[in-house]
Amino acid sequence: MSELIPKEMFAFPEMRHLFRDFFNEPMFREAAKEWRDEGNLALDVSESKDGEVVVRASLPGFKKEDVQLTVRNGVLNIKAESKEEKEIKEEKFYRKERRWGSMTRSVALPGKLDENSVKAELKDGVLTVKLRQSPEAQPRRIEVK
Amino acid sequence: MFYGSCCTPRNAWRNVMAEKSEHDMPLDVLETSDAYVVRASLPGFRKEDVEIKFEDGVLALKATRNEAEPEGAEYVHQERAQGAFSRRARLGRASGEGIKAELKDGVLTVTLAKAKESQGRSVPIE
Repeated sequence: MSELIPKEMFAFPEMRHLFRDFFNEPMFREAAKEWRDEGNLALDVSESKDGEVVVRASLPGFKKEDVQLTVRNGVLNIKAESKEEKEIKEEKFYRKERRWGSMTRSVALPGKLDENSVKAELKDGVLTVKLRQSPEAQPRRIEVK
Repeated sequence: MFYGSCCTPRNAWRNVMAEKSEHDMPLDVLETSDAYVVRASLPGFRKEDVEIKFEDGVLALKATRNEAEPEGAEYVHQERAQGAFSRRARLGRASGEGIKAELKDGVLTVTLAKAKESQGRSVPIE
Protein backbone atom coordinates (compact mmCIF):
# COMPACT_ATOMS: atom_id res chain seq x y z
CA MET A 1 0.00 0.00 0.00
CA SER A 2 2.95 2.33 0.62
CA GLU A 3 3.61 2.33 -3.12
CA LEU A 4 0.42 4.31 -3.43
CA ILE A 5 2.40 7.48 -2.96
CA PRO A 6 5.46 8.01 -5.13
CA LYS A 7 8.73 8.96 -3.47
CA GLU A 8 9.03 12.23 -5.38
CA MET A 9 5.96 13.57 -3.70
CA PHE A 10 7.68 14.04 -0.36
CA ALA A 11 10.66 16.19 0.36
CA PHE A 12 11.23 14.40 3.67
CA PRO A 13 11.19 10.64 4.13
CA GLU A 14 9.50 11.08 7.53
CA MET A 15 6.43 12.41 5.81
CA ARG A 16 6.27 9.43 3.52
CA HIS A 17 6.49 7.15 6.54
CA LEU A 18 3.70 9.06 8.20
CA PHE A 19 1.48 8.44 5.20
CA ARG A 20 2.48 4.82 4.94
CA ASP A 21 1.65 4.25 8.59
CA PHE A 22 -1.72 5.88 8.13
CA PHE A 23 -2.63 3.61 5.23
CA ASN A 24 -1.52 0.60 7.24
CA GLU A 25 -3.69 1.51 10.21
CA PRO A 26 -6.19 -1.26 10.90
CA MET A 27 -8.96 1.31 10.88
CA PHE A 28 -8.10 2.43 7.37
CA ARG A 29 -7.68 -1.13 6.15
CA GLU A 30 -11.11 -2.03 7.48
CA ALA A 31 -12.68 0.99 5.80
CA ALA A 32 -10.99 0.16 2.52
CA LYS A 33 -12.17 -3.44 2.79
CA GLU A 34 -15.77 -2.36 3.20
CA TRP A 35 -15.39 -0.22 0.15
CA ARG A 36 -13.75 -2.86 -2.00
CA ASP A 37 -16.08 -5.68 -1.19
CA GLU A 38 -19.79 -5.91 -1.33
CA GLY A 39 -21.44 -4.16 1.53
CA ASN A 40 -24.94 -4.30 2.81
CA LEU A 41 -27.36 -4.99 -0.03
CA ALA A 42 -25.08 -3.94 -2.86
CA LEU A 43 -26.88 -2.96 -6.03
CA ASP A 44 -26.39 -1.97 -9.66
CA VAL A 45 -28.72 0.27 -11.63
CA SER A 46 -28.61 0.44 -15.40
CA GLU A 47 -30.58 2.45 -17.90
CA SER A 48 -31.05 1.47 -21.52
CA LYS A 49 -31.57 3.81 -24.44
CA ASP A 50 -35.05 2.51 -25.08
CA GLY A 51 -36.15 3.46 -21.60
CA GLU A 52 -35.73 0.36 -19.47
CA VAL A 53 -34.28 0.65 -15.96
CA VAL A 54 -32.80 -2.51 -14.46
CA VAL A 55 -31.83 -2.85 -10.80
CA ARG A 56 -29.80 -5.83 -9.64
CA ALA A 57 -29.31 -6.39 -5.93
CA SER A 58 -27.32 -9.04 -4.08
CA LEU A 59 -29.52 -10.88 -1.61
CA PRO A 60 -27.73 -14.15 -0.92
CA GLY A 61 -29.74 -16.64 1.10
CA PHE A 62 -32.99 -14.73 0.88
CA LYS A 63 -36.19 -16.25 -0.39
CA LYS A 64 -38.95 -14.66 -2.44
CA GLU A 65 -41.21 -14.33 0.57
CA ASP A 66 -38.47 -12.56 2.58
CA VAL A 67 -38.36 -9.62 0.17
CA GLN A 68 -40.69 -6.63 0.03
CA LEU A 69 -40.51 -4.12 -2.79
CA THR A 70 -42.18 -0.76 -3.17
CA VAL A 71 -41.87 1.90 -5.86
CA ARG A 72 -43.08 5.38 -5.16
CA ASN A 73 -42.24 8.70 -6.79
CA GLY A 74 -39.29 7.18 -8.63
CA VAL A 75 -37.75 5.65 -5.50
CA LEU A 76 -37.39 1.90 -5.21
CA ASN A 77 -37.30 0.51 -1.70
CA ILE A 78 -36.02 -2.99 -1.05
CA LYS A 79 -36.60 -4.59 2.30
CA ALA A 80 -35.36 -8.08 3.07
CA GLU A 81 -35.90 -9.96 6.25
CA SER A 82 -34.50 -13.42 6.75
CA LYS A 83 -36.56 -15.84 8.71
CA GLU A 84 -33.64 -18.19 8.99
CA GLU A 85 -32.03 -15.96 11.57
CA LYS A 86 -33.65 -17.62 14.54
CA GLU A 87 -32.60 -21.05 13.45
CA ILE A 88 -28.99 -19.91 13.15
CA LYS A 89 -28.78 -18.64 16.72
CA GLU A 90 -28.75 -22.24 17.93
CA GLU A 91 -25.46 -22.96 16.23
CA LYS A 92 -22.02 -22.19 17.48
CA PHE A 93 -20.16 -19.67 15.36
CA TYR A 94 -16.47 -19.96 14.80
CA ARG A 95 -16.43 -16.97 12.52
CA LYS A 96 -19.30 -14.74 11.47
CA GLU A 97 -19.11 -12.17 8.70
CA ARG A 98 -22.26 -12.55 6.68
CA ARG A 99 -25.13 -10.25 7.45
CA TRP A 100 -28.40 -11.68 8.53
CA GLY A 101 -31.70 -10.45 9.67
CA SER A 102 -33.13 -7.29 8.26
CA MET A 103 -31.66 -5.20 5.46
CA THR A 104 -33.21 -2.27 3.73
CA ARG A 105 -32.17 0.04 0.94
CA SER A 106 -33.76 2.83 -1.06
CA VAL A 107 -32.53 3.99 -4.43
CA ALA A 108 -33.70 6.82 -6.65
CA LEU A 109 -34.20 5.63 -10.22
CA PRO A 110 -33.40 7.71 -13.29
CA GLY A 111 -36.16 9.29 -15.34
CA LYS A 112 -39.90 9.35 -14.94
CA LEU A 113 -41.13 5.81 -14.51
CA ASP A 114 -44.24 3.94 -15.38
CA GLU A 115 -44.60 2.39 -11.94
CA ASN A 116 -47.15 -0.15 -13.13
CA SER A 117 -44.57 -1.75 -15.41
CA VAL A 118 -42.46 -3.08 -12.53
CA LYS A 119 -41.33 -6.70 -12.76
CA ALA A 120 -39.17 -8.46 -10.20
CA GLU A 121 -37.38 -11.79 -10.04
CA LEU A 122 -35.18 -13.40 -7.38
CA LYS A 123 -32.76 -16.02 -8.66
CA ASP A 124 -29.56 -17.43 -7.17
CA GLY A 125 -29.53 -14.72 -4.53
CA VAL A 126 -29.80 -11.87 -7.04
CA LEU A 127 -32.91 -9.72 -7.19
CA THR A 128 -33.59 -8.21 -10.61
CA VAL A 129 -36.16 -5.42 -10.85
CA LYS A 130 -37.17 -4.05 -14.25
CA LEU A 131 -39.14 -0.88 -14.86
CA ARG A 132 -40.01 1.11 -17.97
CA GLN A 133 -39.66 4.84 -18.21
CA SER A 134 -42.83 6.62 -19.25
CA PRO A 135 -42.81 7.63 -22.91
CA GLU A 136 -42.97 11.33 -22.08
CA ALA A 137 -39.74 11.02 -20.07
CA GLN A 138 -37.78 9.78 -23.04
CA PRO A 139 -35.91 12.19 -25.23
CA ARG A 140 -38.13 13.30 -28.08
CA ARG A 141 -36.95 14.29 -31.50
CA ILE A 142 -38.14 17.73 -32.37
CA GLU A 143 -38.53 18.57 -35.98
CA VAL A 144 -37.30 21.97 -37.03
CA LYS A 145 -39.66 23.58 -39.51
CA MET B 1 1.30 20.71 -10.25
CA PHE B 2 2.81 19.39 -7.08
CA TYR B 3 0.55 16.33 -7.09
CA GLY B 4 0.95 13.92 -9.94
CA SER B 5 -2.26 12.60 -11.45
CA CYS B 6 -1.73 9.42 -9.46
CA CYS B 7 -2.26 11.21 -6.21
CA THR B 8 -5.67 12.81 -6.44
CA PRO B 9 -7.95 11.30 -3.83
CA ARG B 10 -10.02 9.55 -6.48
CA ASN B 11 -7.01 7.87 -8.04
CA ALA B 12 -5.59 6.94 -4.67
CA TRP B 13 -8.82 5.09 -3.91
CA ARG B 14 -8.74 3.43 -7.29
CA ASN B 15 -5.25 2.20 -6.48
CA VAL B 16 -6.48 0.77 -3.21
CA MET B 17 -9.11 -1.08 -5.23
CA ALA B 18 -6.64 -2.32 -7.78
CA GLU B 19 -4.16 -3.44 -5.16
CA LYS B 20 -6.26 -6.50 -4.72
CA SER B 21 -7.50 -7.94 -7.96
CA GLU B 22 -9.46 -10.63 -6.16
CA HIS B 23 -12.46 -9.71 -4.07
CA ASP B 24 -13.30 -11.19 -0.72
CA MET B 25 -16.46 -13.09 -0.08
CA PRO B 26 -18.07 -12.92 3.33
CA LEU B 27 -17.90 -16.18 5.20
CA ASP B 28 -19.52 -17.79 8.22
CA VAL B 29 -17.90 -20.79 9.85
CA LEU B 30 -19.99 -22.82 12.25
CA GLU B 31 -18.73 -25.61 14.40
CA THR B 32 -20.70 -28.57 15.63
CA SER B 33 -19.37 -31.46 17.68
CA ASP B 34 -18.47 -33.47 14.58
CA ALA B 35 -18.24 -31.03 11.67
CA TYR B 36 -17.49 -27.56 10.38
CA VAL B 37 -20.08 -25.81 8.28
CA VAL B 38 -18.82 -23.00 6.05
CA ARG B 39 -21.30 -20.63 4.43
CA ALA B 40 -20.23 -18.12 1.82
CA SER B 41 -22.34 -15.46 0.14
CA LEU B 42 -22.12 -15.92 -3.61
CA PRO B 43 -25.08 -14.10 -5.12
CA GLY B 44 -25.43 -14.56 -8.85
CA PHE B 45 -22.91 -17.38 -9.07
CA ARG B 46 -23.66 -20.71 -10.67
CA LYS B 47 -22.33 -24.10 -9.64
CA GLU B 48 -19.81 -24.10 -12.46
CA ASP B 49 -18.41 -20.70 -11.41
CA VAL B 50 -17.19 -22.03 -8.06
CA GLU B 51 -14.07 -24.02 -7.24
CA ILE B 52 -13.54 -25.67 -3.85
CA LYS B 53 -10.26 -27.14 -2.63
CA PHE B 54 -9.21 -28.56 0.69
CA GLU B 55 -5.56 -29.07 1.40
CA ASP B 56 -3.46 -29.21 4.57
CA GLY B 57 -6.32 -28.11 6.76
CA VAL B 58 -7.13 -25.10 4.60
CA LEU B 59 -10.34 -24.72 2.66
CA ALA B 60 -9.86 -22.55 -0.43
CA LEU B 61 -12.83 -21.13 -2.27
CA LYS B 62 -12.59 -19.46 -5.66
CA ALA B 63 -15.40 -18.05 -7.72
CA THR B 64 -15.82 -15.93 -10.82
CA ARG B 65 -18.80 -13.83 -11.72
CA ASN B 66 -19.09 -12.01 -15.00
CA GLU B 67 -22.59 -10.76 -15.38
CA ALA B 68 -23.22 -9.27 -18.76
CA GLU B 69 -24.14 -5.64 -18.82
CA PRO B 70 -27.73 -5.33 -20.04
CA GLU B 71 -27.57 -4.82 -23.78
CA GLY B 72 -27.67 -1.26 -25.03
CA ALA B 73 -27.67 0.00 -21.47
CA GLU B 74 -25.34 1.96 -19.25
CA TYR B 75 -24.75 1.71 -15.54
CA VAL B 76 -26.14 4.62 -13.60
CA HIS B 77 -24.90 3.10 -10.38
CA GLN B 78 -22.58 0.15 -9.86
CA GLU B 79 -21.57 -1.36 -6.54
CA ARG B 80 -21.59 -5.07 -7.18
CA ALA B 81 -18.12 -6.34 -7.98
CA GLN B 82 -17.43 -8.56 -10.99
CA GLY B 83 -14.53 -10.86 -11.68
CA ALA B 84 -12.66 -13.13 -9.32
CA PHE B 85 -13.49 -13.73 -5.69
CA SER B 86 -11.46 -15.90 -3.38
CA ARG B 87 -11.18 -16.82 0.23
CA ARG B 88 -9.29 -19.25 2.43
CA ALA B 89 -10.19 -20.56 5.83
CA ARG B 90 -8.04 -22.67 8.13
CA LEU B 91 -10.09 -25.44 9.66
CA GLY B 92 -7.53 -27.21 11.80
CA ARG B 93 -9.55 -30.22 12.80
CA ALA B 94 -11.30 -31.00 9.52
CA SER B 95 -10.48 -34.50 8.32
CA GLY B 96 -10.67 -33.78 4.60
CA GLU B 97 -12.95 -36.73 4.03
CA GLY B 98 -16.59 -36.64 3.16
CA ILE B 99 -16.71 -32.97 2.17
CA LYS B 100 -20.09 -31.89 0.91
CA ALA B 101 -20.96 -28.69 -0.91
CA GLU B 102 -24.21 -27.13 -2.01
CA LEU B 103 -25.00 -23.84 -3.77
CA LYS B 104 -28.50 -22.54 -3.20
CA ASP B 105 -30.05 -19.08 -3.45
CA GLY B 106 -26.59 -17.55 -3.80
CA VAL B 107 -25.22 -19.19 -0.65
CA LEU B 108 -22.52 -21.85 -0.79
CA THR B 109 -22.59 -24.31 2.10
CA VAL B 110 -19.59 -26.60 2.60
CA THR B 111 -19.73 -29.27 5.29
CA LEU B 112 -16.46 -30.79 6.47
CA ALA B 113 -16.34 -33.66 8.96
CA LYS B 114 -13.92 -33.28 11.83
CA ALA B 115 -11.19 -35.81 12.39
CA LYS B 116 -11.77 -38.05 15.39
CA GLU B 117 -10.18 -36.43 18.39
CA SER B 118 -7.09 -38.24 19.52
CA GLN B 119 -7.61 -39.53 23.00
CA GLY B 120 -4.15 -38.67 24.22
CA ARG B 121 -2.08 -41.67 25.16
CA SER B 122 -0.39 -42.09 28.48
CA VAL B 123 3.25 -42.94 28.06
CA PRO B 124 4.87 -45.21 30.57
CA ILE B 125 8.42 -44.43 31.72
CA GLU B 126 10.75 -47.29 31.07
